[in-house]
Amino acid sequence: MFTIRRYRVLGSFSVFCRPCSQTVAAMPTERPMKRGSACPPPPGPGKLRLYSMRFCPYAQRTRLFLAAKGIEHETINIHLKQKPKWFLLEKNPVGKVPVLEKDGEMVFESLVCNEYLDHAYPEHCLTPRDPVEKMRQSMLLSVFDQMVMSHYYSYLRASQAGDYSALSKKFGFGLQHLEKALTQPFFGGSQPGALDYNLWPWFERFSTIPNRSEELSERRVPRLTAWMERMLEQPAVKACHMPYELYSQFVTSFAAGDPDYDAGLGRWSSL
Amino acid sequence: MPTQKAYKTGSTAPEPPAPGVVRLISMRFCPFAHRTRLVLAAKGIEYETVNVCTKNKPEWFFSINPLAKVPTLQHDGKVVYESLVCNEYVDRVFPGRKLLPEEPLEKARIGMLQAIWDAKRNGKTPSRPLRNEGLSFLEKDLATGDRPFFGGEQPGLLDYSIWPFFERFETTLHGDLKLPQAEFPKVLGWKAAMFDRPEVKTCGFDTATYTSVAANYDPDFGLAA
Repeated sequence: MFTIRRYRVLGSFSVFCRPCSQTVAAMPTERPMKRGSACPPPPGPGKLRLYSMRFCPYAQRTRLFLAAKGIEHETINIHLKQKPKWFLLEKNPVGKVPVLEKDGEMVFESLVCNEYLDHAYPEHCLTPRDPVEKMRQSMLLSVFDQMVMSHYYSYLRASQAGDYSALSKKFGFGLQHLEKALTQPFFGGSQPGALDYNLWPWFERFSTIPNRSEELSERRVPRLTAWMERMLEQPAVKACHMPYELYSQFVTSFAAGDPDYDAGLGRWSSL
Repeated sequence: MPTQKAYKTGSTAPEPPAPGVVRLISMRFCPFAHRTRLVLAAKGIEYETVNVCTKNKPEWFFSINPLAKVPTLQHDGKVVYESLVCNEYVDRVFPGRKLLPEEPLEKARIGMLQAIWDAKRNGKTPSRPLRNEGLSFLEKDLATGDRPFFGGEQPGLLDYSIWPFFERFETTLHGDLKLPQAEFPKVLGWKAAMFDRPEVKTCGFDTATYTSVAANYDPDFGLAA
C-alpha cells in the first residue's frame, strides 16, 4: 500500500504543478523513468536533481556545466518517447530535458539552466560577465544552431551513406564562421567557458563519426580540429563522454522509431 | 517616425552608421524586429532605421550578419543580431529602466516562459488548441504573480518579446477565435494595458495593415510612392 503524501511545490512554477499524490521510495537508476511510473520523491532540502536522458545533447550541455563547476547532484533519466505524466505536470510542461530541481523550484531549457547554475553557484563562473562578450558568444551559438545543428541528422544520415553531396552548404558555412571566431585555445579564452560547453555535445558526436565530411576535416577547420582535441582532454568532457559506438547504436534505434535509451547499460545494471 | 523604403537585392549598401549612432536594420512588419523596436522605444534610445526586404535580401546584408536576418543592430563597430540577444544587449548596455530581472530564479522564469510560449504559439498559422495551451501558462503566471505585466508593474523583456504576436493575433481574433474573457481575464487585461503603452502605440500598426501584409508581402506597404 502506498503512503499518500502531499508535497508543497514552492516558487513561481507551482502554478504549473499539482502536488504528488502518491510516492514510492525511488532509487535513482540510469534506466529512464516511463509513463506509468510513480512520481519520485523530491530531492532532499538543498539537494540538486537533474532530469536528463543519457544521449540527449541538450541535457549534456547542463551535465557539462555541472561537471565543470563541480556541483553535486543526482540524476533521474526520463524516457522521452513515453514520458511519465508526472514529468509534464510537475517538472516541465514543455516535456523536455534537461530540468533542474532544487527546493521545489524547477528550471528548464538548457541555456536557461546553465546560466542559472552560474548565478546560483557563482564559483568558477562559465558565462561571460561582460555583456558584449556574452552577446558575441550568444550570436555564435545562434549561427551554429541555425546553420550546423539544424543539419545534424542530415549529417548523420549522410555519414552512414558515405555521401555528403546533398548536405546543405550552410553546414560548412556555419563551421567556417566558428573557425574564424576561434582566436584563442577555447571560445572562453585560455580555459573552456559557456560557449565551449554549449557547443561541445554536437562536436563530440561529430568527432567520433568515422569518414567525416570534408567540411569537418583538419584541412578545412584546423582551429576547430585542435579545439576538439583540447576539449577531449578536459575533465568535464571526459566525465560526460559517450563513445561513438553507443551514439551510433542510439541514433540507429532512434531513426528506426524505437529509441534504445538503455544502450550500453549492462543487463543487470541498476545504477 | 521617419520610415524608409526597404533595400532589396542588387541595392548599394548604405554608409555605415556614424560613431555613437545606433542603427537598426529592420523590416517594418517583422514581429522579431518589432521586439527590438519596442525595447529601444521603452528605454528611450535614439536610433536610425534601415529597412530591408526580407524576401529579396540585399547582398550587403550578408556581410554584416551571416544569417541576414532582422533585427540587426549596429553600434560603434559592433554588430548584434537575434532579437532576444539584441534585447538583452540593449537592456544591459544602455541606461534607463531595467527590463530584465536581476534575481536568478526570476531571470530563469522569464527564459522558461519564453520557451513555453515559443513552443506553443506556432509562428505562421496559429494552431488554436496549442496557442490556448500556451496562453494558459501566461494567464497562470500573471494571476500568481498578481502583476499587470510579466515584468511586474511595468512591461519587461518578456512583455515586449511576446507582444508583436498578440498585436498580429488581432487579425485572427474574430468570431470563434476570440479569446474568451472567462478563460483569459488576466491576459486580456494585459493586452488592454499593453495597447495603452506609449511605446506600443509608437511601434505598432493597425489590424488592416497587418491583414493586408499577411495576404500580400510588401515591406513598403503604406509608404508614399
